[in-house]
Amino acid sequence: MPDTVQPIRFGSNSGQPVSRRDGIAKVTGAATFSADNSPANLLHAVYLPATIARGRVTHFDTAAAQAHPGVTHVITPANRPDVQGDPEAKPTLFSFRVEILQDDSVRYAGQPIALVLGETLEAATEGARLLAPQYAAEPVATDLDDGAPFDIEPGGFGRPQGMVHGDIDAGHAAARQAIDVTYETPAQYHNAMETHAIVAEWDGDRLTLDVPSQALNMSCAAYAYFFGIPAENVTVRSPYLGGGFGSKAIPIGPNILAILAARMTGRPVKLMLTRQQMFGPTGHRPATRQRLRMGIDATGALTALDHESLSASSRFDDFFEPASNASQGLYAAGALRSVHKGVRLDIGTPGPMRAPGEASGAAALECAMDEMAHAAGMDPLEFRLRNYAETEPGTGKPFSSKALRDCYLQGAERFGWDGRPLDPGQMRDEAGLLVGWGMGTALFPCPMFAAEARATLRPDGTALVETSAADMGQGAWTSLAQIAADSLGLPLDKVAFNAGHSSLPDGGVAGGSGHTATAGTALHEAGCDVIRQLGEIAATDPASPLHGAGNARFVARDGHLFIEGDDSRSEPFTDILARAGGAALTGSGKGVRPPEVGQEFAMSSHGAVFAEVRIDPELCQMRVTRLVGAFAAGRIINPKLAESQLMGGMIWGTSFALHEKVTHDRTTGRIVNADLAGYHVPVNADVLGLEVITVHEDDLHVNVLGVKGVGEIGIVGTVGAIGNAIWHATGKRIRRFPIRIEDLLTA
Amino acid sequence: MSFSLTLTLNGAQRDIVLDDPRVTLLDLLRDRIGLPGTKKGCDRGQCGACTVLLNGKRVNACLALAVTLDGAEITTIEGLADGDTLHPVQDAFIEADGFQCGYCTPGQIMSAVGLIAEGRAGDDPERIREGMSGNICRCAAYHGITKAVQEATRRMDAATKGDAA
Amino acid sequence: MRYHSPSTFEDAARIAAAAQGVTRFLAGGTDVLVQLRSGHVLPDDLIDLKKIPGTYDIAQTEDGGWRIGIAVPGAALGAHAGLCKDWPGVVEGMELVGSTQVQGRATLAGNLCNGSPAADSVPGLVAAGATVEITGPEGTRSLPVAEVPVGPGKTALTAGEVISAIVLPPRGDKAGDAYLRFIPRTEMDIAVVGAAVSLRLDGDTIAEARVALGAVAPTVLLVAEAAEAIVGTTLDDSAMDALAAAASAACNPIDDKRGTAAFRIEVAGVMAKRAARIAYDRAKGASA
Repeated sequence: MPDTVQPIRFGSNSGQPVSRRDGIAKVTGAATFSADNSPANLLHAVYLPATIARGRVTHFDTAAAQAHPGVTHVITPANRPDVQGDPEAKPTLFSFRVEILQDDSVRYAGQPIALVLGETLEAATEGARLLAPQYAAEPVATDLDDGAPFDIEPGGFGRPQGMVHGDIDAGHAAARQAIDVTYETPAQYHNAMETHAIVAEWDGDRLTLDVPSQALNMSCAAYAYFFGIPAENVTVRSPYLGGGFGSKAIPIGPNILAILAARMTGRPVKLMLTRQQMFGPTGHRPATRQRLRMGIDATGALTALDHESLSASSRFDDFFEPASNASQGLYAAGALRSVHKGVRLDIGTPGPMRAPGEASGAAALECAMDEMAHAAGMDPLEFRLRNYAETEPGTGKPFSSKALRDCYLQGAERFGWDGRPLDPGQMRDEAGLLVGWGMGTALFPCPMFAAEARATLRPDGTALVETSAADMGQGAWTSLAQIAADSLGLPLDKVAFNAGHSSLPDGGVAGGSGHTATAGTALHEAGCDVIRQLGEIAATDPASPLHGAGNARFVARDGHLFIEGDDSRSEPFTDILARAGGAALTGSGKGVRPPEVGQEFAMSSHGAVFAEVRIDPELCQMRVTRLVGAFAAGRIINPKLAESQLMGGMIWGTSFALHEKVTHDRTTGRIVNADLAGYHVPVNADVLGLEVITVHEDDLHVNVLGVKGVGEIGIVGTVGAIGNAIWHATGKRIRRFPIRIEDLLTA
Repeated sequence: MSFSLTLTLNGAQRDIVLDDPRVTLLDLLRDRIGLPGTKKGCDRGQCGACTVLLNGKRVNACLALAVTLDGAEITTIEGLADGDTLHPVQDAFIEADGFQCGYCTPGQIMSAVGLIAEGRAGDDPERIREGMSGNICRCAAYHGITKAVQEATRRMDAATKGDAA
Repeated sequence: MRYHSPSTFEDAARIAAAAQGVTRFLAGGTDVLVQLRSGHVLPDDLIDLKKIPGTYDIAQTEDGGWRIGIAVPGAALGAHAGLCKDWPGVVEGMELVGSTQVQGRATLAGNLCNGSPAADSVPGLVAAGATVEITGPEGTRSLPVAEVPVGPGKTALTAGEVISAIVLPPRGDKAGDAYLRFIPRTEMDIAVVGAAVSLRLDGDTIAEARVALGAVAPTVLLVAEAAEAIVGTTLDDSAMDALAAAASAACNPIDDKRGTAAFRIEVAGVMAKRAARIAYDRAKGASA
């Protein structure tokens, strides 16, 4: 289907399913991830994680560690060199308090309590083991029931804002039918395949870091703070991230320790977290318990949607999962309330993990919607359409675009939703397996951060475009280059793209599903800036066929500049530049959303996910046999990569519904399943039929590109769709994720 | 205590002196002989990111001590392409978008090459999924991975038949 | 850590007997490596058995059984046509240990010596009536596989003893075996319940049977009552019910993060029935 939004210049590249430009590097092993760097004279650092969750370290066998051949330094709170910043401070927007051996206390299991340096990884690893710490342990709280809930004071990142629209008590009172249900979601850990890693090297007071970062320039500022140097003295190189999912936006304590070790020894230091250490200081999605009270009138219209979520955070910092946000902008209820409560536990500080808030919140909301639909005797899709929000619930703001109805209809048609029995337990396949169908709605905001970009048109007619923020798998190396090529009117193969280095214009944050929109807009503006300058040169050059074009608009196409609407007058870029002295032309651009746009419009991506499960009636083993997701996310720059990302998100949804969960030992507070054998994520055999539809959506307001974002929304509707399909197969409503076999056997 | 061993690594013979018996094949490749294409994802055989071919069979390089491998033939991701000509599995991964972040990709590709050589999956998607389940992809590019292995299998079969004809 | 690579089992046993501190034998090494990397066990002496001649061999014994070298990786079992024909249940048990990559190194002997009640290759060996040959300072002895694990992580081997071969009895006619396990994930998981059945037919009637269960007790169980429930039957519905009941009754599992006790007991019966059905069909197929 053709885009009908104003093309980005000539749209020659955007919309094309181009294969990844970093593909060859990635399939040949040439793509260099942080820990692949091994500068000369390298020291290996290994930190020792605490095995209790609360208390103090009372003793280390430092001598044994120090005596191990190859161990060069043993760093504990007793001898740790000073840092210049306060570990309890938050130097940037995306900062949490860090544990960098500032004292002997332990505040969560997995916290770094000592650092060992060695000439080899083997020596440093053994040195850390030989430290054999002894503890004075205190009783721990790791379960939501172990602490006292309190109201969260809203305050930006990590401290979400609730909301009330209308009279919620009146809404409850007006209900002809009502439900009051409570759902639980577990703590989950990001576990990107690339564990966190850093190679730190000092040159005087200049610091170079190979470290995966979703926010390069902000990270520079944070690291600079701890070492008392200007941010511009820090260089972060992060050309490839082996997955981020939110965990690599925030500088972590172990990285600061590695930098400190490099400064102390005057040698480059490499520290790579083990998989087990990924269940400690790197953030996680906190556990939630969510109560949903809903009421409907005789027509099935929601009179009240009342969503209260309780989220865990650490004892010493604030990140509360904004789960009830999921109910703030989706359904047209007569009255709406979203409440956030918190509880403090002896755990590491949580953080944003792919679709923070929406993933957990929609898991509960979409299952509750299914329960409400069943109570009303309505088809779940019909019930959602009955409560479709034409404007943003509560505020009445128009949506910048909202093709959710098309998502519902196209998804339902592809899935074959028609004819689904209303009651559960009605379908079996030829092998006797129970079959169930469920659905869920997906919503994810489309924020823009702030980004800058530079475009340089070279005299040979090729271009270099640059912005710092990195590709963590979403495809930025490719889709951002497509945007830039279009803005410059060049074929993709004439445009080199440079990213993943903090010395480049600040690309902002690769996260929040906002990178393509933000950095893409900056690159687009940079390209337009170049073309504008080129037009000025040509218009004032008597030798140019474009001379005297004055205020006419120029358009760039295939390396030529044209006057808009007049194909008879054009000139190659190379000719214009050659006559102008043969110098390159540089333009710059910014990607920000004007605040008034946010005042005027509600902006979100939407989607609908349909799931089929098959369940062995004797063993209750569940398989998700089909998933169809239809998503409307504005303009899709690269359908091939966008579909991959949406599919990945849907598999994360499957993982949320059926697999992921950490379990704490209730005595020590340790996570007992802290590896990939115990912490289950889907493997290839878990993934069967998977279909993604990208629904056409023109958005004239979100940004000049009409781009929303697809990084996170795939998870959002999927969890509920699977939970609802399991209910539809079995008649058993499980209100705790992940849904386990035992739950079905005993429910 | 030092150990001498000889490996055939990506087709070339390498004499290696090892001062430490604790070094795994994975850390030997990454830290000691400058081949970091093979990735470390878990260091205990649970994720498959470090898959290499050992005497033609796929193994997790993290689960083999280097000192035990004297005389072995090892192929890593760096040794798969023929100069600038990609192996059919590498081509197929790019075309089918069988990866996102790319970190598990060297292991996925070596595993796929091993799977195809085992000859037990053919182009049956269910058997490919099973045979590729030792390689975790957190980006969850499984759909593309399965498609890539199917496609590469077909092409390699066709090429073999073409050669035989 | 000292590394040894003896060329005979006798030498291996001698090194082990003389060693002070923690000793580990290395066959495939997959479990030893995990222990080493996780920092739980750092052996003082590591004795690599793979240089001993014959450890990679699968050989038919004079009586028609099989002798499997201790370094034969799981993947090589599945590639051995004769072994797959005789003991498909044993082979499929080993093929469920980790991924194909893990099976590129992991061995039957290692899976057995790890002493995990959930070891996937062990129920099949127990049901098959396999034995191990053990070499120690006092010479060699033979022990049924069922008697090797004595508790989680513990074996009946004494200091200096090492398994030097795994021996499967002759399969004979009209016989079949099967192993099934139950895991929450579709692949790459540790058994929550494993069930192996080996049986022989006389006509359509089961003449002999052995049923072994994994992950439902501190060690793999050989459940005589479950075997008795199907001997003399044609695996009709009532025999199947009796088999399931006997299997469930034999379980003594724990609650853990992987599954509750009640769940394991219920699933054990179902898995035993399904494994018996496959073994039965294989036995009939083998006689055809």
